[in-house]
Amino acid sequence: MSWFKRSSSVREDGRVAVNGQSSPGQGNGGSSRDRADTDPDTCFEVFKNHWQQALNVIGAGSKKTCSNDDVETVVHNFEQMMTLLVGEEGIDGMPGPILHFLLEKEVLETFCNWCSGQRDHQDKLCMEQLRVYELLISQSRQLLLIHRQVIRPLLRLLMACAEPRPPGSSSEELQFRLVLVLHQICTCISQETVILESFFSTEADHGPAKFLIFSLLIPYIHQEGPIGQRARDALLLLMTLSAVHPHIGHYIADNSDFCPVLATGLSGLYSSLPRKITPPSDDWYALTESDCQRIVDLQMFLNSLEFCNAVVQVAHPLVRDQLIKYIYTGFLVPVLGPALHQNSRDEVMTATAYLDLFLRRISEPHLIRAFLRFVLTERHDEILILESLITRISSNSMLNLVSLSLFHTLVDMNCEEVMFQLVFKYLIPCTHVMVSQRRAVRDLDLYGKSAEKFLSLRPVCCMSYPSPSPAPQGLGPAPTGTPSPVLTGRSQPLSRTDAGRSASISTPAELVKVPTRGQPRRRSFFRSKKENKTLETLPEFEQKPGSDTASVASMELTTSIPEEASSFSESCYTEYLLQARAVLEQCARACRNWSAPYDGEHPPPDAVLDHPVPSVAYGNIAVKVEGTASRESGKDTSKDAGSDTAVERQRSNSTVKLLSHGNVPDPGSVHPPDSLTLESQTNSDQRPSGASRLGGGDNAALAKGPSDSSSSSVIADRQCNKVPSSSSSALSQPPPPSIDHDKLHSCLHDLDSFLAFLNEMNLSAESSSVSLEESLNSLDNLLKSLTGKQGAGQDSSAKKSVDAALSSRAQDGMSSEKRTGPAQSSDISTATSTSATASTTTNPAPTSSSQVRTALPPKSLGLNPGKDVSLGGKCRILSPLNRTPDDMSRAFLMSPMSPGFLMSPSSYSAGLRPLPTALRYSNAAPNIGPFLAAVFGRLEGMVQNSLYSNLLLTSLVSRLAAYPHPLLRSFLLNVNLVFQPSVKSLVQVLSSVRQKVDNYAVTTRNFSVLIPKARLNLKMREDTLLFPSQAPPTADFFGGQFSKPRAATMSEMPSEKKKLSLADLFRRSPKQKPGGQRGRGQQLQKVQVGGGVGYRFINSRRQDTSDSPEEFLKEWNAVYCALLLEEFLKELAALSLEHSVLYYDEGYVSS
Amino acid sequence: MSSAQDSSTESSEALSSSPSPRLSGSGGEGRQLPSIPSSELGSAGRGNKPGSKQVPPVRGTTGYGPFLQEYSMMAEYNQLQKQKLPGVYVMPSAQSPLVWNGLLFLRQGLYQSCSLRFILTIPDNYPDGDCPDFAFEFPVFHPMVDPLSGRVDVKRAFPKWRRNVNHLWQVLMYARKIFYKIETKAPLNVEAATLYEQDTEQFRQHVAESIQTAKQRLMQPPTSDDPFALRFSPWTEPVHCEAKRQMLNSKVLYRQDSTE
Repeated sequence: MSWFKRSSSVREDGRVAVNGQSSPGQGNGGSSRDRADTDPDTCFEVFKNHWQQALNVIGAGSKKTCSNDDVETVVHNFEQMMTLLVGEEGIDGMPGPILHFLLEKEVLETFCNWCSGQRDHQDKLCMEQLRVYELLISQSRQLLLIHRQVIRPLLRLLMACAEPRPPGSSSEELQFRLVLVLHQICTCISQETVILESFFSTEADHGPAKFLIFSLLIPYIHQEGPIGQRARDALLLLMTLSAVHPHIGHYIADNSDFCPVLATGLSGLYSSLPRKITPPSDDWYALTESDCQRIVDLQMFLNSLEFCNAVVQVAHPLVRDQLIKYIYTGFLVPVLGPALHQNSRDEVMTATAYLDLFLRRISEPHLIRAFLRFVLTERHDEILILESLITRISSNSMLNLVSLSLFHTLVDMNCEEVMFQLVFKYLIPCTHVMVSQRRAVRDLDLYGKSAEKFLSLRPVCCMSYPSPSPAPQGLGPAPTGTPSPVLTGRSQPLSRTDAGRSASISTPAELVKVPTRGQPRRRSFFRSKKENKTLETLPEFEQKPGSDTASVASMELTTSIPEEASSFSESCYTEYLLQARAVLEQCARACRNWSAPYDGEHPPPDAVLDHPVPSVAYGNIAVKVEGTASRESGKDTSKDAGSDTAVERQRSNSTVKLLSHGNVPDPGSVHPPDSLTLESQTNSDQRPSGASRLGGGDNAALAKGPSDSSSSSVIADRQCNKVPSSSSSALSQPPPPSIDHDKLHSCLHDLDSFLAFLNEMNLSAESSSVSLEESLNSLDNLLKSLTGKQGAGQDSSAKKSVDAALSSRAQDGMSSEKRTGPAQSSDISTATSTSATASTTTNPAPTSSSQVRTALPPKSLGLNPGKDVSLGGKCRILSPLNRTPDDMSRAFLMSPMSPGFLMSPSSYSAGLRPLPTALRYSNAAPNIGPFLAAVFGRLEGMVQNSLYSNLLLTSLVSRLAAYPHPLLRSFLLNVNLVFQPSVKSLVQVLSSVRQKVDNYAVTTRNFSVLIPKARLNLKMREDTLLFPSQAPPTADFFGGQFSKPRAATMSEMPSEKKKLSLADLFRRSPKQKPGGQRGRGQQLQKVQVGGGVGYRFINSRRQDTSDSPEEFLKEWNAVYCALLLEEFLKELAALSLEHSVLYYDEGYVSS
Repeated sequence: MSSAQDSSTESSEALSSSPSPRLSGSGGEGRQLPSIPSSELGSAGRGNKPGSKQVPPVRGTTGYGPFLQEYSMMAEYNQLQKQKLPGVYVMPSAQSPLVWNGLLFLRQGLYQSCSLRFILTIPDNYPDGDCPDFAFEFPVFHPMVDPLSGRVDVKRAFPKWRRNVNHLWQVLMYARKIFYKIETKAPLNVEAATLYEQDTEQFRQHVAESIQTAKQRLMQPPTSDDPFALRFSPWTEPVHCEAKRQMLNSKVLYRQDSTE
């Protein structure tokens, strides 16, 4: 909106005014037109005249209070004047006579003074003034906002308006006007940056008054409705400015409470979100757009979140970083963290869904990074958040769905850090592969052997006839005579229409219920699960009767279907291939900038040695639990201290940098002290607790260290060379700052350093104090201390002392760590030696080891590598780009030696692993990490899982399988690769599932009846997702038993103890139990064989809904599982085929 | 599919008597279809949508044999592309992924400036079957090239075809190598072998003649009726320029693509 160009309608000079004096009664619109038509001189006269009249009242009224009439008079005259002013043209860039007069006589100032004197009419006058300014700013043809005489009263007015006033009726209107004017000012500023200076540094040197319009806008950040929207728009304009004018950025970051307010507001809004969401339907797994619209609070929160996102996008780096910092410390850690760990399962589920939604909503890399860092490395109550999230994959309620969805979102980001934490960290050492096979990780499956294997695993029960007759015509058993789209489409080579058509029929990616984001991110979500065989294709059962009933049954359901159904012949494999290619290409492209190809050599297997190794180290765990625990705390804190000092140094560098940035106009000199204040404040606020904790940790470590080393001293010496050598080099790091100087300096602008700082900050006290209010309070305090910036001097001196204390402590911590180092490594060596001896013995049978795994409570499964996850991740994230040896060693130094591995299943069998001989490979126990383990565990239970869970699960795995990196690809898709006995491959898992399904199918009488029905249901589901307009027959899904089984599932609490007595539960087998995958599956089947058959036989024909909801649900789950498994295998096969072909594509993995 | 195999070998034998029919034979027999195509053009390769595959299931019970086979071929072809064998150009047949049309340009040595069309026929149980069959359209004068059929004895280099170890590009490399490192042991063309050993001058002469004939043969339409067979047409300025321009442009595009 251009304020110096007036709308052209008013532009006409030639005419002479007829009437020089306007009467108060004259209408506003009419008079303005008249005025505009008059010649400048006349206008000037009229203007002076009005002023005189107004002045009469003003002068008289200065003593006593004015009457309403008086006020009216003044206001009216003033309005007329302004109208004249607006119409005036400048003369060669100089002010016209009216403006000149106005400036000279300080008309605005006088008026403003008078207004502020009128207590009785304050609101009204404020409003009037705002209106006048609005008019002036938006309409004037001359540049007004550079004149002090204009700005000063304007600012005064603004300030007055901002004063808290009693909740009057007009306050909202006033706010609206105020924000409007502010917005206009911002618009002007962004168009004409000259003005910026006049607004920025008018009076106060710093503080809110320094950039008043900015400060005034801040309170409206979170307001809903048009006011808030306009305020946010205005702020964004200023943010954009800050990117160009660094001093603005500095001001915002250092002198304003913009970032804190924004972040705190986020917390506030979050706290008003519904704590529980009632899922609209059974297959709900993520918040969708419609959910957002339905929940008003959520909409508000998202508005603010998106505003943050926008700010991060446009603002000055300082502002951006600060905002992110506050979001991290003020929202993520203290609010979202606890929210994810509430007691109520529903609340946790809701919070997880929120997190998922947020991750999908934000788009700015820096912000995403903060969120990811939170998810990946932050802890709550000493437990890594990521860890608890992973644990929930095994959960049994809706939480499972939501968690899977969250992980799908994460995996779908193609983010190296995420994948590193979830997957690659564990795969890099290659411990899961047989030693002799490790070189084969990169091998490509050129001849589709894997695909063949996958396809061969399709459950017998849903395989079509081998059907020799249709074979010559098409792949699928398309019934001869029926016009099949495939066949017709085939005549045109490569016909897109064919693809499109069959897509619309069976498996379009879009039928996914796309949550929120428009992009096809969840393409494969509900897609693989399509069913694409003809109904005629009956299970390969001998019993003709069975097949007959099948078709009869389907007839019953919908008579029209069978004919139509015949047209979904198996065109789908092509769909899968196309889809696979699209996903692969997109993923490969997205991952092109990853730092390493993850092909088993880069990074080298020993790159992450520090993580898995410890898992071996605790072969003799039982004794050491306490010791390791305390050691852990010692490690943790020492690490804190270490990185603290680093941060400290970075910080001081930053101030140096600011100083050297001195070319910043005037206020530059103000900043350094401020930033010092910031840091010292935070330090002094947070430190005490941290420091004391640190001390405690130290002691513990000190106490523990020696005993540890004495307890196992076997080959400590030799190991010392190996292990601590790196750490010792790292130890020498702190003293010579010269080296780091550059590095730190360079990463100064990096978010990482910032976040590292944050991490430390709240590792201390806050993270454990969970309540929202508390954390908000503390944040508030922080803010206050930030904004009130007296005594910077003392603070900085205080800071120095704190600093000194810290660094000395850090030294302590490190040395204590060093002391424990050898102890650890000696552990390692003992374990190694035992394993060496054991390696001659036979490998443990896979079953036994897997039993070990399943015997563990799921929690421990998820729990295990947690500690090192965070730390390894942290160091890695700290230096994602420059992975110098230096960094590596630091990583090692910081590693807490993963005490969490105590419960790791792998550690049980550690001693029994054959000892790898390859030089570069670690001898750690096979380990695929908690995430993959959880996912696989869940997969193994596919038969018992609900349909929806399986849909999400399979799509998650397929998405993982789309990553081009050989380590992951070979792990999931290469069936030729031989894994360590304790590691189950995907193929093994799926074969066992298939086994179960087939067994179940054989023992269940009407399974063959259910299969086609289930197909039909899936088909209908697909159609409803595709064409939502059609009536959703969702309720048919379980044949009318929809809600009942669901309830059963929900109420069933997964309790680990039960599992032990599983044998007792012979008949009534518990349907879903996380973790009890394998062994239990067998038993289940036995159950079926034993009791189920006869039982089932009795009421075979009809769906025996009435008998037992549990049985019923189990049956349906199994049926859906069979179908899903078939489709899933096809999808995997397609992915595997595409991998073999895509590999050599340009830019696949550029190394 | 074994039938296809048999017939192709038959046809090639038949060819040995009369070269021209052989290609058409193999083409016709390669079962139908058309849809495969497009693709494999030089680096652009592999656009082929497998989907268009016809042919009933062969391998295993899965019924997905054709997919698997086609992907195997695509993977092999990718490998070939990666090898960038100098002077070797290959375009899979439109009719069957198991037949590759190719061109070999010899750039130095005795056979310098010789250009030969060839056909690589892959057994349909590849990679578990026998060696692929390699035959030049024109039986160039060479100890290792059958003077009648133009076949090169690939088996000699790959006595036992080993999957994952031996690849199709190696066959092509071998076929190329015989012209640079001429061997005469157990020759298919005895005359050539003898001459090479005893009268190099005359051998050269024969080769020169053979090269000339080969060139002429090259300009004639290929014996195969395959739409993707490689054809030569006389050099014309505008066509050349246009093609060159397109190639250059497409290269740029490709690069942009990859940096995207």
